[in-house]
Amino acid sequence: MIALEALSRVYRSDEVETTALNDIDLEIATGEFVAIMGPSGCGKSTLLNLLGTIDRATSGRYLFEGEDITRRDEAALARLRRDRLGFVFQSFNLIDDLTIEENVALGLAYRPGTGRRGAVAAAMDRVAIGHRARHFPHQLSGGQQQRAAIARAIVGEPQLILADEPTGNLDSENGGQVMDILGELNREGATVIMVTHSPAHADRARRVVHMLDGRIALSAQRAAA
Amino acid sequence: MANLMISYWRTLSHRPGFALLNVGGLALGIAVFVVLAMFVRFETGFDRWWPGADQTYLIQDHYTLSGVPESTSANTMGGLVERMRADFAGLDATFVRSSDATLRLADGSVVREPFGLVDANFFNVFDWPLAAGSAATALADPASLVITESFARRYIGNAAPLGRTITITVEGKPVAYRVSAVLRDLPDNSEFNREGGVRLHAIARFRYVPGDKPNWYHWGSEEVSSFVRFPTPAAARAFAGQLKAFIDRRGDHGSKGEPMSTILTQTLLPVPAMHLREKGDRATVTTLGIVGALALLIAVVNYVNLATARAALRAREVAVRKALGATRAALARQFVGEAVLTTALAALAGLALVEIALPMVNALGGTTLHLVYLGRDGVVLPLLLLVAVVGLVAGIYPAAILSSFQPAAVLASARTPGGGRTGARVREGLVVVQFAIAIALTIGTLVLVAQVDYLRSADLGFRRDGLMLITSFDDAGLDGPQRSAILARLKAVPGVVAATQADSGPAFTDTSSSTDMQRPGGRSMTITWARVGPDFFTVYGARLLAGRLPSTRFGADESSGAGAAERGVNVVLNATAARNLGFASPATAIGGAVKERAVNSVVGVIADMHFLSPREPVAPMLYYFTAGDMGGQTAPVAAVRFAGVDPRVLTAALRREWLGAAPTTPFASVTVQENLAKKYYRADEQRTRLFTAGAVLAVVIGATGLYGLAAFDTGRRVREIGIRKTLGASTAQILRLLVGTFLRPVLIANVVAWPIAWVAMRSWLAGFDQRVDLGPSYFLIASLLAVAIAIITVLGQSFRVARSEPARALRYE
Repeated sequence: MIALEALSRVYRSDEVETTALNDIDLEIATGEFVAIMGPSGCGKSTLLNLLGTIDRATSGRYLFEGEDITRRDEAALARLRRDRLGFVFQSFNLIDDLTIEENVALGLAYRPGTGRRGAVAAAMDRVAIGHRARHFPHQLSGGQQQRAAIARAIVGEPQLILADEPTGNLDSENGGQVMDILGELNREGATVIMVTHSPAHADRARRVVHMLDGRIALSAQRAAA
Repeated sequence: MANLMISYWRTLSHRPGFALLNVGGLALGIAVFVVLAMFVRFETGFDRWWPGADQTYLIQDHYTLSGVPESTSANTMGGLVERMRADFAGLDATFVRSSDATLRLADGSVVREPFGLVDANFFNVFDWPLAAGSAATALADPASLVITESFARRYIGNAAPLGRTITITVEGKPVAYRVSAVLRDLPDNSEFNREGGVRLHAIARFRYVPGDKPNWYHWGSEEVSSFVRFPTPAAARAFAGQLKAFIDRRGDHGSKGEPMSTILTQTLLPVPAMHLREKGDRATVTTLGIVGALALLIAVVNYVNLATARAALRAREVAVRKALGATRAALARQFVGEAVLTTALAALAGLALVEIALPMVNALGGTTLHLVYLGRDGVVLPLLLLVAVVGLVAGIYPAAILSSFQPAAVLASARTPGGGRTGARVREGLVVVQFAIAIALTIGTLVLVAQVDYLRSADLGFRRDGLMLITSFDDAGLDGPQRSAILARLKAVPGVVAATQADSGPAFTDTSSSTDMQRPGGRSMTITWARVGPDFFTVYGARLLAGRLPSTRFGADESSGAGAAERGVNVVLNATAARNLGFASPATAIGGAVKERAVNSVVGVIADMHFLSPREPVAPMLYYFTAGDMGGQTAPVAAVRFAGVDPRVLTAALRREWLGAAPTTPFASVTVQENLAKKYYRADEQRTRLFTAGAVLAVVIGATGLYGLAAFDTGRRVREIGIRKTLGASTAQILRLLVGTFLRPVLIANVVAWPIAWVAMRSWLAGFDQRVDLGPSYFLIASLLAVAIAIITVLGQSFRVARSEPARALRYE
């Protein structure tokens, strides 16, 4: 599904040049559940951002389902995200002024077509947050907010789910629930790429990519559970 | 769209303070703009209700006379139209002779109504709508009378007006008129329905009787308002191009035999331009329109500043939306959409404010503005356009900033962007623009108010308090002996100290006459002369600079009577006349000779008395003393000096005495203060009040924006403040830092505002002959006010944050 070839990301300011990703080669097959681990500042989130097309590589190639999307224009990348990707963030990133239902509907807001109400309700039910549909994010617990964020990510039935430390702000119980949902989505066919600091949660993935100083130090395939 | 509306509604409802600042500021700006735009439209829309207005032109006389400033008159000699018709075949022309009609009512009382004696061709030029009768036959008969609907209601009631006979005394002669047509009431913004304009409540044909009006064919006389009508502007221009030759062909020659056109020229003024023809009128109205636009601009700047400052808070939303597939264009549309929605809400609130404020605005500005929602003059369509334009202008920059955020950078950072250093600079620049406008408007307000106050209290060369003009004294129905008898009775009224009559009075221009005079052997120049009765100078409190005042004790002072004009008499000059005639000082003028028809001798020089517009310099004046009756070609005005009595009580007493002496002539009087105000000061005062209100609101809007900006900026800097305090900064130091941030653009704004305000106000003051000095105090006061407002606005926010404990501040983010 995904192939990264010699992908690098360098941040430049007036006086400093920082290499966040250095010559990354990585292939991820459709239906994989990949966990990315590593110490802070090793480039995990940068890699996830590049995979999610919300950041651009300085050099190298990004092939998505065989197509080189490295130099695609902004509008084309926005369409790709809209139709095929789903994001889950550590800090949830729900919009404060919208209700949970409206936040979830946001996942379809930029798509043409109608009949969204059913999809939104289904997504909320899927993560057991439907009873909180009319509430605002600040009225929910962290775990509930993250479940709402997952509903928003999956409402469009994306092929690829990108999760950046989805349990980072949650206690172990809520973290476990979120991991259950991600595992279930993966079993249903979605490719999941997740950045995490938690070895326990990484164990849920079939492959763990270890990063260090902007490079892939180790890519370890786990035996099927 | 639904998502946008929901998100927008929540933004407002969850942050009422922000909503109030944003929508409220914009609503206030729109309200100020709409009211002042309505005022400008009202003032510049005079007579546009009438389709023929643009084709119809007033003929103006322009005088270029030696020794006096160039002047323009809206009146011409009576026979002008007749002369023009003879020279220009097929010319569509007419004239209006404004007069007062006197009607005796059933209860015996008499009233005055504005009356127009017109040429028979009147309704061919002024094809105004009639409520009854036919324009073709309305003036066919010299006894025909055309009245307005309201005139009919007032004096005929509900009965059918056509065919009714009404006896009206016009110019002293009672005439039994028969109503031949009823004219629809003219709107408020018609020069033919405005006090001070060519008011027409009733119209009849003028009948020229040879010998009755000796100045009827005298070039330079001001008997009527003459109008011509052309189908196209080109035809009007072609006609105007032939006027110089016409004047030289038909006109008299100057005193030295020079062609008439060297002294008098004529131009055509379109009827819609008649209303703002006085010097400075159009500039003042335009300035008020600019004030409205500037208030709106300040409000738009507020929106832009608040929206971009708030961008920091919305960065995450933008990043999430982009991650979910929103394109930059879609986000830009969203933010522009929000600006348009905000403007639409503000426009609604603004309209409500306008409705609430209009009665007050009308009271302040002396206008009759009212909101019309639909139709040709409806406010809805222009307001929709305004919403679209303001929404776009206000939304584009914030949209560009917000939609440009890179989601990865925003999501990765604990800090949120606020448009970066460039954004902060743009905001600071916009605050400079806002405060420059606010300071310039404040300087303008201070100067305007000072000038208007000055006009009310300036030394005019005579005592304006305790002085009443009897304006009905010039009624054509009175003759000289009657006037003398009336004056004698008025002098006996309790409270009257002295009374006099003269061809000259404050804000009284009807009877002024100018003619060429010179010192023997000297240069000829135009000097205005007036006949004055006994006590004229003492009644007015004129200051004698040299010589003596005229008196019945000196026979040679008397200018009336057989042979006086031929042998020469003693005269009094004002200081300007003495100076213009070449006398080195008032004292040297005493005993000097001034030649008109005969050689007159100067016995006194008085300080200039500013009787006319404060915008015009005082004309050189020569006063002829007349102890006896004043009849003749011109009708004088009486002035009464009073003391120790309320003007209203005095007026009632004078009226009683007047009606005892002249029961068929309605009494009319006005205090000199009121007459000057009505004719010369009120329009400036009203416009100054509107300017002040607009300027104050513009400053309030600017301060509102600064408050909002300070709130957001201070909120953004909480962590920085925590760090600074942890490092040992005191509350005072933090306060200085925060207040200083906002004071800098305000101080820079002064540098921008001062020169602009100086140029504008110098130019405005130049329109006045009597004016205040444009000293530095106005600038300093305005700047101190701006700085004080900025400090007060920012201080509350800053003080709260500066005093908070550092640990709390650091926890904030």
